[in-house]
Amino acid sequence: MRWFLLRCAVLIVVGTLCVSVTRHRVQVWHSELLLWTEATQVSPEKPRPWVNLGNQYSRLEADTLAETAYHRALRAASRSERSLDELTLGRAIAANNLARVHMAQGRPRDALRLVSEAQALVPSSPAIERTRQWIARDAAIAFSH
Amino acid sequence: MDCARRSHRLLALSVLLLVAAGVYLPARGNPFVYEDDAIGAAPVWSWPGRGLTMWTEQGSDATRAHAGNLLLHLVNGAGVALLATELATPAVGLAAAAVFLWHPMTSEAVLDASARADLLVTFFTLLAILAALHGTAVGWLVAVAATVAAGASKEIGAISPLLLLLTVWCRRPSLLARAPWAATLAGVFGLALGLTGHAILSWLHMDWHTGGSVFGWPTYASLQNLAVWRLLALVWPQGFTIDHDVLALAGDREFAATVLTTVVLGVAVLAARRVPLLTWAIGWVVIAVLPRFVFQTNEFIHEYQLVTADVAVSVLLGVGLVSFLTWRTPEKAIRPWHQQTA
Repeated sequence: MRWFLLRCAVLIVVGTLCVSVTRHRVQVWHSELLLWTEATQVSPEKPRPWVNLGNQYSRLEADTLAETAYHRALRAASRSERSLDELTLGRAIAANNLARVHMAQGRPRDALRLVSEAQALVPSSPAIERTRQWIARDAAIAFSH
Repeated sequence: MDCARRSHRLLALSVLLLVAAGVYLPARGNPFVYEDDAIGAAPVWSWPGRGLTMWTEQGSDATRAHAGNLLLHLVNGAGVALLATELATPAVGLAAAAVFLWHPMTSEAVLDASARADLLVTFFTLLAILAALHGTAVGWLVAVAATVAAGASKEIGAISPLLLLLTVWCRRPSLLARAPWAATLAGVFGLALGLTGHAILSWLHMDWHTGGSVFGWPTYASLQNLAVWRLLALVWPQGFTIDHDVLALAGDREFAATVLTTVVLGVAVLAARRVPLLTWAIGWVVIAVLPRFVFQTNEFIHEYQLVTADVAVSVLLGVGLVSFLTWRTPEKAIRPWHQQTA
């Protein structure tokens, strides 16, 4: 009887643990920022979570944090063991988004360099082309002043 | 006595469902995230292989979408209980339902609004199997309709007839002897594939620029195998998340995953006569994940995409939990089914 009660207690503890972890996941999914922060902690070598984390920081206008996240994405995408897919898409997207952050920070030269790098990786991307055109237009205005 | 036992089981299942509802209820307030923007973006039935999912999502805001997913999860949990009761014992049914409803391995399918399609495939598959095991003409008609509905919920729903055939063949092979129904099922399988065929064929050879994989098939299959093992067996100590990194685990773990898969497939064959439940569970998982190996995309399998496979995992864990509690293996769970009384 004693062992049966002990086994019951073990199952109750396991069940409570399961429910607690699931409850925690419900809270994490409440915010995209929490979601991608968690992903970068579990998968720090993968570019995509860092890119999406940077996007969330950009939306919140936390440019410094966004810049850090995009740099992490670029570093993760540069490792030779990553797939070609992540080297190009991951790096291109991170470079494109970081270019936008640099423009917002008033660094048009850095922005142009990054968006050119992104376009060299994925020439056919409409999103990167739109970024390049926006930067070129605003940079021309900035340089003329 | 039977009525009393049935009432107690119903009460226990209700408690499991209530606890699960309580855990997930706060998700109603979660916003749309990541790929949820696509919900409701395309006209309903513009994509036949997902038409039913799109129809259920029509006009949904985030609250309704998450509430819908929760409802599906609770119904699926009840379905797992019924299926596990049929395959093993009522105690295993309750334990399997608890695992399926409470374990965080199924949480992404509930919390990600975009995962509605996988929940629907699981629902219709369970409905088809439970209806078919009834053995009546109406039951088979419902099974046929449910497998078609699975195919119309998501392209991978085309596996629903295979899971139905596997379960019926394992549990009540005599039902398959009714040739007209088998022929109907074959027709249904063709119809389910036909609903998605135009998409499936184009996925066989996708360029990596348009969503295909950069890896050749052997490498892709090896990494996908590692991803499946990671999510089914290793997620617990290493964390649940929206985006797992398979490539960082490659190398030794890839080799270990390949060895494990070979061993498991061998066990499935060897256990077929003595422990058919184990063979059924392994076969279920293999069928549920097999399309991910055939159609190579630039993504490896996600947690929510394993929710159909989690049905069999929950049943096995349910047997384990009951065995642990009673300190003996439920005899009905391991006795060959043809030796069991009806």
